[in-house]
Amino acid sequence: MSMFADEARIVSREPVVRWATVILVALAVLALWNGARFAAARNAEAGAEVTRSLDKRDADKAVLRAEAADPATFNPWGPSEPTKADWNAARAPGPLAALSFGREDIAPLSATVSLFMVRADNLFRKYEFGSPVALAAGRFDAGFLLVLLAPLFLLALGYGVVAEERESGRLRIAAVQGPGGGSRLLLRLLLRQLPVYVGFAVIAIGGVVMLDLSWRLILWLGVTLLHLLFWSGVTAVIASVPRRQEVLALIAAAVWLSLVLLLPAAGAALARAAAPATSQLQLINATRSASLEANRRLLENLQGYVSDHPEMAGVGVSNDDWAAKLYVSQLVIERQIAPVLAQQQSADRDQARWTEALRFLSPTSIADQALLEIAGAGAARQAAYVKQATAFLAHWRATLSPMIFQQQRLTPERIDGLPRFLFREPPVRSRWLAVSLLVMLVATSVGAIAAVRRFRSVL
Amino acid sequence: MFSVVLVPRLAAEAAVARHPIPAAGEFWDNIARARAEGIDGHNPADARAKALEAATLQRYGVTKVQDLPIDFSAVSLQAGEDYGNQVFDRLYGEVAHAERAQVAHQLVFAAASPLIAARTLSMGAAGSDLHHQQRFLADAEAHRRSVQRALNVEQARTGKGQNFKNVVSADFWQGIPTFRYAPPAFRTIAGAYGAAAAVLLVWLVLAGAALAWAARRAEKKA
Repeated sequence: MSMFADEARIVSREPVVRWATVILVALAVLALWNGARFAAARNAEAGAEVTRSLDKRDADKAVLRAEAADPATFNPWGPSEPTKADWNAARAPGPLAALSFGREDIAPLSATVSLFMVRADNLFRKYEFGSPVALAAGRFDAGFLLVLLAPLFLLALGYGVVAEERESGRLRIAAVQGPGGGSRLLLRLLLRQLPVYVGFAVIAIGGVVMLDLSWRLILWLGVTLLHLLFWSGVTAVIASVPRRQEVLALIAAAVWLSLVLLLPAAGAALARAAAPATSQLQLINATRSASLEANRRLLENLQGYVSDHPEMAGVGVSNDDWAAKLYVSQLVIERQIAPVLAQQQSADRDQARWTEALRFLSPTSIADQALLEIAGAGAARQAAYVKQATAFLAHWRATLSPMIFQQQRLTPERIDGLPRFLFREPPVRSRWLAVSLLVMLVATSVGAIAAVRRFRSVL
Repeated sequence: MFSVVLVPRLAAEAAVARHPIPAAGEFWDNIARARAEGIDGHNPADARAKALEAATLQRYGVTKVQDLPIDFSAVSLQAGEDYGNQVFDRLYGEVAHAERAQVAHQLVFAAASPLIAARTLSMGAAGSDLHHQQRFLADAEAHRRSVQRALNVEQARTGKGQNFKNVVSADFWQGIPTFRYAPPAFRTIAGAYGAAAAVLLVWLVLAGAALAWAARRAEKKA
């Protein structure tokens, strides 16, 4: 206890520790504030998309009631036409998007579903513009602070703990005084790193206040804590190397650069090389060819299509029915480009698999991907949204397309009964996450054991 | 740590907050609204169509569309294009303006991070920055519009009574120039990089002064 009090007194007098505490608390508060702002904006966007759909339905019903009251105002290409009905299939941002933005600022969160020229390949047209400067520099969120920046603080605060004692001659005196000197220095290193853990505590408390305590938040905080402990271990190992402070600073910088920037970047580059994405131009050209073919075949003669689809026979299909022709042409295009789309989706899945496999190159990659998965800001949740919205499109078609072929019209009552999209939160991939956590736990344990053993022998 | 890792991200956040870019849903809703109700909200599509028909009939001195010597649907299509172009120019123009403002705003932080100035200059020199991208988009869009206009003019000239079944000749397509993008000459956009170059120069001078000071100090110690 006396040793702890002594060391705490020594460390608390160091200006660098005080300044680091102030800076990290300020950055933690800033990250939380920025995250809350970001998540609120995305939530508002998702909400606005649903409100627009509801408002359009109300406006359409008002027009239909007016047309019923005065048939002279009837517009055949107005709200009674089933092709004109639509719904914005929107999703809320990830449950912890306020802590880890991920790709939330550029991934589409809404898709307008209708019968009017909407297909599987163009359903997600509402890509966010993003920001050219944010895309180049990255976003500032709690995940960035704890995964990328905090390790740098841990290294900067602790790398010289042993070397400065050695260079001042105090290490020799401590050795003469007997055993326990190593433990004392290890304790000093951990106390010096406290500002980082104070920053972590601020984010933890802020997270609970902002988002309520949930198993997701506990898991998110657990992963970040494990990651910080890993870096504390790495710092201790570097600090125990018998070299001058300048050399240790260079080693610390090189380790941070390698594990935080170079290896994750190399992993991403390798994934792109191993499973390159297909060209978007290929899909565009295939769609264009398919459109020309569909127009040639169908806009001339709808009966040709109906003869191949007996289920449509006898439902009053007219060759003059423009809406039916347009709808069927979209189905034909979709069928023709399906192989190209499947190839593109398969390439995307391959690349995602490679990216996930290569996360083991660096504990920072493991932590980063795990945090995005838990926060619901990663590729898996977006893929689940794409799947659900695509299924909603199929449901929409199944509900409304018979009306086109039977030349029925929408009424206010029918509009009320049209489908509405509700995003179901996909479960976290627990097995995938368990593997990530296990590897991080092993890496942290190895780091901790190595640090303790090396500090025992620094004197 | 601060100038390379932290400040560029804070600069980006500050730029995004100061010059927000509309969300995709809001942007496309504005496009749809402007096309249907008019850019100013007081010029609905139906009224525009009626005005166009009246003006075209008057121009050709006839009273019915059927009596026009041209295919009126092509005139209508081109009018729709022209109106859509106004809408797109205004709304995409606002986005492009916000993007340029973001790039300019983050340069304020170059005083604390030479990386921002260096990145601005290197991307500009590589031709992969926002200025070059926006120039490419503008050129490609201008080409698309010229092809669209030529097609509608041809349709108006030859499509009367054809119900869009007429086809153009090979000569027509040979008359359409192939799109060739030429990146802007550096001297024409050099002004956009003046501030970044000046900031980087100040950083270089400061670094040189610090180096000289450190060298003198080391000499004294020796």
